[in-house]
Amino acid sequence: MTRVASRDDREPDAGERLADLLARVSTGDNDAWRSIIDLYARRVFALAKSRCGDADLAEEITQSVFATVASTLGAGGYSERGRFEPWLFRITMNRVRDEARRAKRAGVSLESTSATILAAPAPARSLGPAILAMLRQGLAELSDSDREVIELRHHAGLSFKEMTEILNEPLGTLLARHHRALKKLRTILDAAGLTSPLGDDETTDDSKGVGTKP
Amino acid sequence: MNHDTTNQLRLSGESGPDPADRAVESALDQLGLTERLSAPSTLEARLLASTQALLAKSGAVEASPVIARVRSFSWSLRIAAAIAVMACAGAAWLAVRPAAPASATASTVAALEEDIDAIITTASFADAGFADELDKLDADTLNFGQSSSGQDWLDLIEETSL
Repeated sequence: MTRVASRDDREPDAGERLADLLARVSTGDNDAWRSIIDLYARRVFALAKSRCGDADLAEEITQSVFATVASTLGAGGYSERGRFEPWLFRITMNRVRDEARRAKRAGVSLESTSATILAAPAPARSLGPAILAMLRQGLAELSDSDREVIELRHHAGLSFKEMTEILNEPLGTLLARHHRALKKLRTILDAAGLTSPLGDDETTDDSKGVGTKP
Repeated sequence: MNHDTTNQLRLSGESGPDPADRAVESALDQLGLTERLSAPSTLEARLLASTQALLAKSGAVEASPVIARVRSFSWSLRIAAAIAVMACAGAAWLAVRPAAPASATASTVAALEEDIDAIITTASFADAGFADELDKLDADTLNFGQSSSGQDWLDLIEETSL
């Protein structure tokens, strides 16, 4: 069964469980490896997709990331010290940057690619596809630095503490960066008249508490 | 529940210093969740299929504990060799180093200097007396030569023998 674990729904003993899984993976345990994939594949995919704006490319990146992780874990090249997630998402960020550089050399703009999916219907949950597209549009207008901190937090589902290890920045700095990025996104959404629909889509469920300032 | 007919929406159950930021944050969480769930349903299966071989291959390599042991042993050897080299260097330095401590050496040099001064002084006194004696001897010899220059040595011998 696929689980999409993130910072909000981790069990208290998740760290010990993860350490146990990683120890078993290093001995070639396929069931443990399947559990690792179930826990993290979609988070890696979401981060890659948000950065690249292309589902196929995001899946390629996800494959590449997990191939690297499998090789390293299998060879005993990783010892768990509570830093698996930062390591995993650092690999992901590096792959995404590599892909962005490759696209730049080839003269392909990832932004233009992402523009095509901005309008594409997305599976709606509590926000409608139109609002999700607006949010993606707003994200696309942010600087790389601002996007990075938002995507690690909301797409990869990392805690701020884990993000400090990936970005090598103090917690206070990261919190400030995240706050500034949110403000900028809000400004962009306000300017585009997008803040109002944040909670007022026809598919929006008001009871989820998703809205904007009155 | 508050269904607003305008575009201005309210937050339900939100109370905080900046609810608008929280609303954006919450919307971003929803976006992240949507992106995660938008992955193909076969993503995990494909990942598993493509990486299992890598895991098995790497696992076979990892299963040889001898490699790890040899690696750690070689490090031990390196450390032991480094310690041995340092010990040899220390022993050589101790062997070459002068036995007496620096203060003792200084006092010995001072005493030696005093001895040398005394010897030089004594020698200068001795030289002075010796030179006087030589001068006196030289003068006596000269006087004797002058006084005896007019005499026949045979007569002198006869007188003396008398």
